Amino acid sequence: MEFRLLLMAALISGLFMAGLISQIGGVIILTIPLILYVASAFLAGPHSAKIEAKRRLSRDRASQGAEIEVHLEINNAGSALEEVLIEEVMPHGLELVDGEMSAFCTLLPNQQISLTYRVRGIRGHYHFSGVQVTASDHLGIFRKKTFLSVPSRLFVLPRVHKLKKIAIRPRYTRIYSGMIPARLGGPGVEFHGVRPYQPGDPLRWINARATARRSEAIYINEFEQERVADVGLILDARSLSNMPSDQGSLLDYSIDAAAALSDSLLENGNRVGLLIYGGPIQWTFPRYGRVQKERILQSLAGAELGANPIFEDLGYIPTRLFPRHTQLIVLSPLVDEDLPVLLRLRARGYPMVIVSPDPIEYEQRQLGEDRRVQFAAQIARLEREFLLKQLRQAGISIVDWNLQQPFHHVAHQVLSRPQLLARPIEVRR
Amino acid sequence: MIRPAFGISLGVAALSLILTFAASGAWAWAAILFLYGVLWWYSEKSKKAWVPSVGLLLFTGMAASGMAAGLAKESLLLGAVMTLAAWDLDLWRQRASRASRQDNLGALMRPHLERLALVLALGYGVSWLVLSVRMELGFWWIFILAFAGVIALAKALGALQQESD
Repeated sequence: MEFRLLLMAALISGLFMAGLISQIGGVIILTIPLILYVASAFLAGPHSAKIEAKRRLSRDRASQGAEIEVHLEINNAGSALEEVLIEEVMPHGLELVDGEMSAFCTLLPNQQISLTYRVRGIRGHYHFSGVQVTASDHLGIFRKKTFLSVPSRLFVLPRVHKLKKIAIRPRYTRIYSGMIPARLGGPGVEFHGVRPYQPGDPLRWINARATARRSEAIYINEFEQERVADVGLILDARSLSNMPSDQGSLLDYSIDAAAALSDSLLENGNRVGLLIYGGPIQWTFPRYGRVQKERILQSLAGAELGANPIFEDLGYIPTRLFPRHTQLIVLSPLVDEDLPVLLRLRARGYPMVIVSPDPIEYEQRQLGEDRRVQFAAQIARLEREFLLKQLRQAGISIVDWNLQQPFHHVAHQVLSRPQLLARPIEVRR
Repeated sequence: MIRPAFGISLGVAALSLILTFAASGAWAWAAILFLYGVLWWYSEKSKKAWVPSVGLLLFTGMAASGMAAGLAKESLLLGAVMTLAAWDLDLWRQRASRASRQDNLGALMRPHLERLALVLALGYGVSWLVLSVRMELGFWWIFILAFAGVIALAKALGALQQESD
């Protein structure tokens, strides 16, 4: 029941009882205007509100910070409504840029009104649930609240920075031609070796020098085939490792990196899958192409930190999801306990790259320039260096990402050089 | 248009009650009414939702106590009726300001003011008429009336509850 109606009822009954008890007619008479007021509102109260609503979004996917126009159309399919308050229920996390999200009006039968507003938001999945319509009499005593379900979905995708080249070199590739050197002779660009001429080989591949040195056969140049590879991105979304704070967490950096990597790898024709590990496991099955890029971006848009105690340990990564010899790219700030799991993955034959946003620099930035903080950071850095060294020794390529540099810059420095990926990588601070 | 109407209602309500209490020498009560009237007026800007409702209870309660004390009934009745008007207008303004857009506010406001004026005029007129009637009732009549009143109120509230569900 409405507060106003309760207040009126309390006042009327209070005055009435006080008048009866004190036997003073004047007190009871004071209830007459109040009773008439409530009765008038009751007689003119709203009947059932029959309202239809439609929502249109200028686009259902947008990049972070981009503005989206929302257009809401309300139609009164029932009888006239004297006073209507229409309120759009905006999903939490979106910010109103301009426009109107609510209206106070009279709605005649078949009358339409529209609300237009623009929003922007941070990365995420947003579900518009519906519109709250409150119809009331002119005195506002009797109200009928109706929630119109008008579901709409909006994806605010993470920013995708274009990477120039990612030079991964998995041991095995798929049969389709692509951009990744396959360690196999055949048609290609890069020189691979020399072999005896066989009928059908193009004459322009004949290596004159090798042939001149040995008179018994003709030798031709062989090139390294370039093929596509299976790539599995593992995004570490554990609260334990991502240092959540009011300003965000390291997960946001990892997501930006994952978006850039998946974009570049899929552009180059590779088959890419994504596993988000931390809360409930989210798995985007490996596929090729632009649709897969969209799937991965949508999955990244909804990625949230997970504090599931079972998944505090990377040991529960479902490796069966990744075909054998898949190039794994793990995006994680790393904690000491991850070392044995990562070594085990490497031992199973997965070629691995770890992109690790530096948690020490991140935390130091939040804690300030205190002397004790600096000392603690030095110790933590020694521990981290030791962890990374052990991983490098196992043949895992590490991108130790100093967060003061943008990822595309670090990726250009480190991931564009295949010779560096074959051995340990050092990122200068 | 709502704002001047609210100002007039609140002013008349406060003045009629203050003057009635002041005329009987109850300066403390008059001062309380004055202070709360000022607070109510300024709460319009601060948009404190509880101020009008407390104001309605206070002013009507004061009018009732004035009736019980035998003060001028007509001015107390006027004060109570205008308090109801001020309360209604203030809450209407709050309701309207909740929306970022008000479509044709004039067309919304006019029927509201018309209905309110009609109801309050009728309320004041009927109450004034009843005030001039003098009736003697025995204890059992009062008891039966009170019982019927309570039953009627409970039934009405039950019906309203069902209606709002």
